[in-house]
Amino acid sequence: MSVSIRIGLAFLSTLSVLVSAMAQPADPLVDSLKQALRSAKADSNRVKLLMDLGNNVGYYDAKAALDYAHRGLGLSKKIKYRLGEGRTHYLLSNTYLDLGDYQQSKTHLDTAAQIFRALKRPDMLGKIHNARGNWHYLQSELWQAAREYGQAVDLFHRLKDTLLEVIPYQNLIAVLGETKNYERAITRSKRLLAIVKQRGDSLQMAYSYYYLSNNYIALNQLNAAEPFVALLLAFVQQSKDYSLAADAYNVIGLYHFKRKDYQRALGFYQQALEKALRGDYQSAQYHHAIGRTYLRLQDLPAAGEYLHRAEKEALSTKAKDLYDQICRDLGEYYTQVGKPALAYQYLQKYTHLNDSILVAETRQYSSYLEAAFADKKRESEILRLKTQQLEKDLLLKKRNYYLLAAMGILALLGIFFAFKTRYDRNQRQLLEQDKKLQAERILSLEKEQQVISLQSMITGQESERNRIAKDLHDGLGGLFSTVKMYFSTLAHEQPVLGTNPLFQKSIELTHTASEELRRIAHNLMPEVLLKLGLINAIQDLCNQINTGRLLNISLQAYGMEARLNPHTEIMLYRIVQELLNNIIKHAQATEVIIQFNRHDERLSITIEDNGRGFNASEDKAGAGLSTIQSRVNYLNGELNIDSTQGVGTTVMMEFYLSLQHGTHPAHR
Amino acid sequence: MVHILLIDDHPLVTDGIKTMLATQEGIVVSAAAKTAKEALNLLEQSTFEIILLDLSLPDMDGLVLCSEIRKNNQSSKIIALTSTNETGIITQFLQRGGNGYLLKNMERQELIEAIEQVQLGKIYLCKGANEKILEQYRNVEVATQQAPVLTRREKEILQLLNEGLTGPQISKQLFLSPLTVETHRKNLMQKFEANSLQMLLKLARQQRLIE
Repeated sequence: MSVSIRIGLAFLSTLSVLVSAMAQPADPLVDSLKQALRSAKADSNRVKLLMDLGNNVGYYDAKAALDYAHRGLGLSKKIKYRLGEGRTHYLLSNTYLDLGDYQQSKTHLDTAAQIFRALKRPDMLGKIHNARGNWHYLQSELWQAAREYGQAVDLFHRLKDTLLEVIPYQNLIAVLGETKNYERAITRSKRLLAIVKQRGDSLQMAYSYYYLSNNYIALNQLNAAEPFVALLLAFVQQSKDYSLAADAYNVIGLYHFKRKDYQRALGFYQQALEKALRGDYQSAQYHHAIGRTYLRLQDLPAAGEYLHRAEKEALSTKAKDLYDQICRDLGEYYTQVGKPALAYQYLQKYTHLNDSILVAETRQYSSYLEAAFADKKRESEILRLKTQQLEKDLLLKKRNYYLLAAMGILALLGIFFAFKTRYDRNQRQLLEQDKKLQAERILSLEKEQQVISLQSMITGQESERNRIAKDLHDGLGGLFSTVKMYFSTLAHEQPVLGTNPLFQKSIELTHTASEELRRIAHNLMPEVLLKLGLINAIQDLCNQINTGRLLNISLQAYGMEARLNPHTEIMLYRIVQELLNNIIKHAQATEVIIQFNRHDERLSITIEDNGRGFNASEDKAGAGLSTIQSRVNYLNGELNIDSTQGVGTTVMMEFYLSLQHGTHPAHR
Repeated sequence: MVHILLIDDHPLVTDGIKTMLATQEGIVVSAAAKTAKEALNLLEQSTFEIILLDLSLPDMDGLVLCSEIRKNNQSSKIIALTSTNETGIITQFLQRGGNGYLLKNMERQELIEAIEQVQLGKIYLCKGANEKILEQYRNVEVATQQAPVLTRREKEILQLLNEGLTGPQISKQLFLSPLTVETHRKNLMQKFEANSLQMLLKLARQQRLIE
């Protein structure tokens, strides 16, 4: 199911239009802006004009938008207009994102964030979070996207800015849809629809129709989708908003596609493509939709052309999920044109892409989202404790005054008050201790909160992996093995059959299938980890990698004779696995040392490579380190990264194995 | 006649193995069990030359069951029948008294060969398992090295300890927290099996890691 991949992005730029020029038709607006620009002096107003222009032409001419934004940036720098500088960076980042240039987009976004932070503009920082969300979203990094959207919602919520809050909220709904939580997306869309209806905001209402259509269609409840599809169509037919129009026509097309009315679907898809092209948006998904429809209409040449175009675009913009689906359809296409070898190639790409990991990521995200919503309560508890602490602070100050006064009187009245002072000091010490306790409680509650949300995410994911691996082994694995057993018995009983090449091929393929299945199940959850524990599993992992001869890993374990709690073992295994993956992917190292040292309750793990190193403070967010950081947090551990360019990277982690995470009596 | 006890909870797999052996003279599957409990009961009643054992059973881990069987029975040959091929599990199984290791997607010929080989008192590993074991030995050179391998940080700290610096001084010089330095120091002692700083430095000198 293809859910829009640009929709989230459309929102913020749309909004700036809404704010600056509500309900005005776009082109006269651009003209009048150009007019104003001609007479504008080189001041901050001119920067604003340039930005408005950039925002508005961005719908159909991204190149021109870039030009305006760069001019705005230059001018802002010249007149030292920091806010303008931040905003133009922000605009540039959005435009580059539209063009699929993630690197540029990120650079500008980071700069903008820095400026807004310095200017203390939480509203703009909220937009930045939302934009970061879009950035991840477009690259199918849904979990990260959701986190950024969540932070944006939080920020706007605290600023009591409901207008802005709607945007990341809509984007969160998009993620819910993408992660196949359709029912929840529908519930939330309906709630949001009620709010925007009250405000009479027709564009936002249209977005709600869009999401409702989309999610009902995803659930195959076409009758429920029907009224919303109609409302959406009515809206886009009279609206000038390209960004929504492209997505809207796309989903309307999908509706008819599902109704098997391919001719009409094609019409709407073509409208969607046209709007997208006018808006200069990434058009892979539209080409894909059209190609797919031609395939159903048996117009194979057209189908091939559109699908290949979509393939190329999806590859260049790294839209993983979309590319995945395109491969599937190209597989079907080549089957129909009678080229089985090519068809097989595409289908294999499809299955590879569709491998467990994508599924796991999706699931991981949804449980994370659940936890995030459940956490609100705890947050309020923390707030309450914080206010309590403030009150105590106040009291303490008062006490200090008393103390001073008492000392004044002491000079006059002597011994009696000495007693009183001591009493006061005791009281004060007591209070201070109390305060410290309180602060610790707040800290631990905060930590606990973090842990709970991570916990539901991670345990859900791991138990899911375990279940799938088991199902694969026990179910499918057994079936494949049995088929092969029958085959080989058959070959024994009917020797003639055994020499038949088709028969031999069948045996071979069954064998390959069962090997492939074993590989997948192993990646999901290595049996050795559950049966024999962490060090054995990691040794296995190292052996595998060493055999490839790309990397030489030496594993050293001290004090690791007793097994840890199985849950902790899985977590630590994943951390090491992830770090090794990073090293293989990015570090260009030849030697790696993995070291486990356990002293009673303390466990330290060091992973060191001799690769090219990186800048630890900058790259910490990227490079997969953030997932590692959250896993380490989850185990209440500390992560220390020490990287020198050209020398290598040392990652050191320290854990305190509490009873909960600690030693598990070896049961064998 | 070779009597086989087949322990597997997957009915189709059981049927597949019976089918494969049905036409083989001199070998007969004389009993089948779906759980470890059933298997232990059957083993109390009669004797089998060969036990084909699925390593993942619903009620007990296959490795544990292997040890259980070996407590009272040294004569039956046990062949593991599994869908996982992992070094640790293969070696564990052999250590617990297993005689053969077969992957479930074997062919008929391989099963029969395995049965014949273990009957002769040999250990039989299927091709995949063999490769896994070899994989491990390719790495053995590193795994059994005499001197512990040190990380860069450890080398630095060892050097500074040798120069007579204290923990806090080292932490200042390397911009590390004192706790981290302490952890490194403890790790070093653990690696060299030293119980004092003097001993650590002496051992390190012997291995020519410091001057």
